[in-house]
Amino acid sequence: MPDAVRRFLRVLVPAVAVAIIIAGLWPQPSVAPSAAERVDTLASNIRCPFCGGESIADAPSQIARDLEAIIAEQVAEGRTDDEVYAFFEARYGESALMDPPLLGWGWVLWVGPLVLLAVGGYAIARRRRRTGTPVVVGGSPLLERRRIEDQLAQIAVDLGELDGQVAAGEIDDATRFDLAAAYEAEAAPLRDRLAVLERPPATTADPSPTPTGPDRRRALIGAGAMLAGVAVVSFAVVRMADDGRDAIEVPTPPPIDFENVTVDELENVVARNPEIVGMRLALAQLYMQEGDVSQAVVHFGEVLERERNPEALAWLGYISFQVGELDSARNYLTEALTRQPNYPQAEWWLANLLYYGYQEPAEAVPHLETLLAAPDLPADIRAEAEAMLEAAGGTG
Amino acid sequence: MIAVAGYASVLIALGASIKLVWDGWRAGRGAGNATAVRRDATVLFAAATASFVLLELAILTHDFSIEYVASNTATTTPFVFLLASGWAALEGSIVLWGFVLAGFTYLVARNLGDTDGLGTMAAAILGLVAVFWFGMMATVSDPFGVCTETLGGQCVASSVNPFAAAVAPAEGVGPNPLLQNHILMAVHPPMLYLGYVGMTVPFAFAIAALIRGDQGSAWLERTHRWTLIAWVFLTFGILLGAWWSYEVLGWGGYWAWDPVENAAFLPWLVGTAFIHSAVVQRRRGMLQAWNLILVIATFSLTIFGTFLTRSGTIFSVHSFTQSPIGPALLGFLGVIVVGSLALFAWRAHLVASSPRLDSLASREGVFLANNLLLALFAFTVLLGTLYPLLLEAFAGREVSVGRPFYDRATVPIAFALLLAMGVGPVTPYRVARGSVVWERTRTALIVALCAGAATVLLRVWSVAVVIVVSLAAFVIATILRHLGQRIAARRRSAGESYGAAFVGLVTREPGFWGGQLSHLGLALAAVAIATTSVLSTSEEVRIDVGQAAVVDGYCFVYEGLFTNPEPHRTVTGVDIRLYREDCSSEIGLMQPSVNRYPNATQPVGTPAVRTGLIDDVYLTITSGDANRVGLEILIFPFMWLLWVGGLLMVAGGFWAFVMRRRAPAAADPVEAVTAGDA
Repeated sequence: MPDAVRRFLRVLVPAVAVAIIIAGLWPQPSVAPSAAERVDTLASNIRCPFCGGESIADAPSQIARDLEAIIAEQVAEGRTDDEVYAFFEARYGESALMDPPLLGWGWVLWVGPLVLLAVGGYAIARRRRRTGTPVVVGGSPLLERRRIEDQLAQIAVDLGELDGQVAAGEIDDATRFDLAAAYEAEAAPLRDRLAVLERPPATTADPSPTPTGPDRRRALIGAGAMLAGVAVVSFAVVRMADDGRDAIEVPTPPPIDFENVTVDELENVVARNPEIVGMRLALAQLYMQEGDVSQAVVHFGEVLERERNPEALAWLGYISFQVGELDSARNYLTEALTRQPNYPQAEWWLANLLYYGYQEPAEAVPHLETLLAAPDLPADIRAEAEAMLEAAGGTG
Repeated sequence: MIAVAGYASVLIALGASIKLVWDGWRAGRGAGNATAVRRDATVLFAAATASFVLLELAILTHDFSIEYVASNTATTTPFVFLLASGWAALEGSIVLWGFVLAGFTYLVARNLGDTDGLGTMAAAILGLVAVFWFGMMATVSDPFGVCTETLGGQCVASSVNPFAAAVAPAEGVGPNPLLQNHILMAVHPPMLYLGYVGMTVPFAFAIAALIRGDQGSAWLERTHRWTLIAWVFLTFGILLGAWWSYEVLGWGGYWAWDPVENAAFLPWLVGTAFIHSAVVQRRRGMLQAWNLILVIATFSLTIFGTFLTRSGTIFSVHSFTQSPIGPALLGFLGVIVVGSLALFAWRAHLVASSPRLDSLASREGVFLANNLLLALFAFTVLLGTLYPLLLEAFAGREVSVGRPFYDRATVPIAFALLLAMGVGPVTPYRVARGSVVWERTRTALIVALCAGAATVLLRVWSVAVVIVVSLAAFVIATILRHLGQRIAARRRSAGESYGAAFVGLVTREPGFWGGQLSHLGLALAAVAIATTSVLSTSEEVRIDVGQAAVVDGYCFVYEGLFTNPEPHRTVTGVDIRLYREDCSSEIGLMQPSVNRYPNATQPVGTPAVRTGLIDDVYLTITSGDANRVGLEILIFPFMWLLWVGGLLMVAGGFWAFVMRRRAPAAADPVEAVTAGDA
């Protein structure tokens, strides 16, 4: 191929490639994302509660599919993305959002890496050869001599490699001259110092130079900063462990008597035996008794991770009802009843939900009837249920 | 009986490591020799081996009087998973860790010269780490604790005292179903541990060099191969973890930015930075102090990773229980970081090299950029991992940091790293003229642009994918062009054949060409990461039995349901016949399944994956019965590139490790260090 053609192709081929890339990727007139795309994006930005930290889109569990359906429903109703996020944030707390907003402490996530980039870039940019500063600091004369010899050997290698680099066309003669001069300048004080050190011991008694100030100070500041960082993290983790996860604290579990155990004791046992659902249920109910609903929800959720336990489902339904999440309360309670038909507690709560929550007394009737058919119903609940049934116009 | 013998072996190992610290310290200060150190290390290794073997023995003989055996295995567990149970749960993983650490310590001690001050001091540091590890086994994480109380047939209380009155449940609980769903669980943790623990050796030598304040870069030379092999294992372990996540977990991904994945990724990032900056120190005698910092950081991050994984601070598939091991690990991490940094601040001036960078536009400059980028990458991941912890502790707010954050923050860094990877290896040392770099990268730039254009012509409209494909093509083309030029030069000068020139080149410069092979692998993996995260599709379908569904150019026919009872689980799966779009040319049978384990009521889904040259077809069951099945169908373009690329990275590191001769254990030329330091 003639040289002219080659040179022409060398320009033409990249030019055509660039043209294709630009034409292909030129920003399209923005098309509003389809409903399915929006659901996908939303689902991957919202964390699935009880799924071990995965997003709704990623988590394989049934809960995630249910939540995905809720998102799809809301998108179909015409809610905006922000409204959907707000819905999940209100329902499951701030941790539902996987992309922390740039509010409050959120800016740390953005500014932190940028600060490091700036500091690191600055440190590298001024990391040039320092001439005139003492190269050698501290240590015994013997060690110092070794170190100087190492450095001189390195400089010798550097000088030797220059020839190879010139031969390979990597550097030109002028650069080589400058570099060689710089290396010689570096070596000169080292040789002087070596000469001093190699004199008889009597004269080398002169104390080696003290560590240079700035180097040491910088090292101390750096170490101090990192120590502070570790201290903060340790404190955070310990404090978090105290905040309701005291399981780390107590090593020996108490004998198990659900009537008299404290939350801490039971928490400890559950932590040691995460797979035993019964104890976890007891713990969650203990939290309910103590009024710590959020902890109770966590443990009921853990139970559901392991099995679709009707008791846990019923309690979550009750809690959802109490916080006004009627639809999810209904889902939980209905599922509890499909898994354990005629389960009195679920029947009672579902009846209440339909009667007071949805204001649909008629729908509550069959559940009240099932409930009243149970022979061992506590008297107060029986009375209340009968009153509700009468008011709803059912057959008393 | 096994409990007593096992606990005794742990105590012997603990004693040997204490003795090792003492003897190593004395020898390192010039007051003893290496003979005692070698003996201590041998005893330590023997005792650690015994503890590991005894735990396996207890598991294989179903000794349910040992709490660990009762809580993590069952008589129905298949043999392979029984073996793997020896390290799959908390206490067992600590045993494996201790075993590997003792083995590495033994290897270091075996090669000590008689007056090897640096090596014996390093052995003392290894002993110190072993003291912590076996101390933990003797107290808060006792693998041989006997079961003293049962509830509902399960062991709920145990005692460290091996002579305590033991009660043995009739049957064990069995392994965590997720972990016994796939054989990979037997391989993935040991690989990661070999990597984690391998990083202890460079750390020990670095600390020894600081304590002694001498020997310049001897510590670096002597631990170079250790760093490489640790990096190889860590890379392989992470790759296996990704594969396990993809093949077994069934959510259709290989990386979730889970804190525990990050825990393995962080030491990998910093260790990779160290491998690169070590080159600068060996070639140019620069960055000694920075390398010390990187080694300390890498080791600290392995402990941090263990803490995240094992303490239950963060809920994840990897953290099985909450236990007192958390504070112990956190305390150890604090001691490591505080101790190392204090030592660094006090002594680093003794080993620090002088700044002698000739120009920022040079190979050294690119290495510095690489270090800055990798450090930035690690810092970003660390920040994302710690942010929820810190916010919960100090502000009482529960937040999560997930994929959206990591993607946005790390993708630009990854682009910059790929660019540096293309330019760096052909940039001259000392001073790089623009014309030289241009000459060496021009062809690769044209190739990169053509690759980008080809991607666009293949109707890929994603900017990110086009950028990654171009950058990857740039990296690969630069490497191949450089290889071609070097081979041509050898042929000209020595008259060799192509093959001989290639072999001669890669065996004489194993570090460089091993590194280039890893770069090539990373470039391929980057392409796979881009295509699978941007171009993958997912669709949920329901198919009646005998009917077909066409999705993304494939046709799926539901042929029926099957159930296979196995001793330790029940597998319920569906037969899906896969065809091309026309529903007549068959590709194969896919059998996604749902596995039910007796010790868990929640079943574990197993996906079916069909790997192809263009894309992977990935099926999971969402619902189903004999008449109708619900399937999630995911298509991942060029997935195989990730596995091939990852394996090439491992192979590159392994090549550099194997071909580089071991640095000899130099006899100590500094006889009286104690006197000299005073």
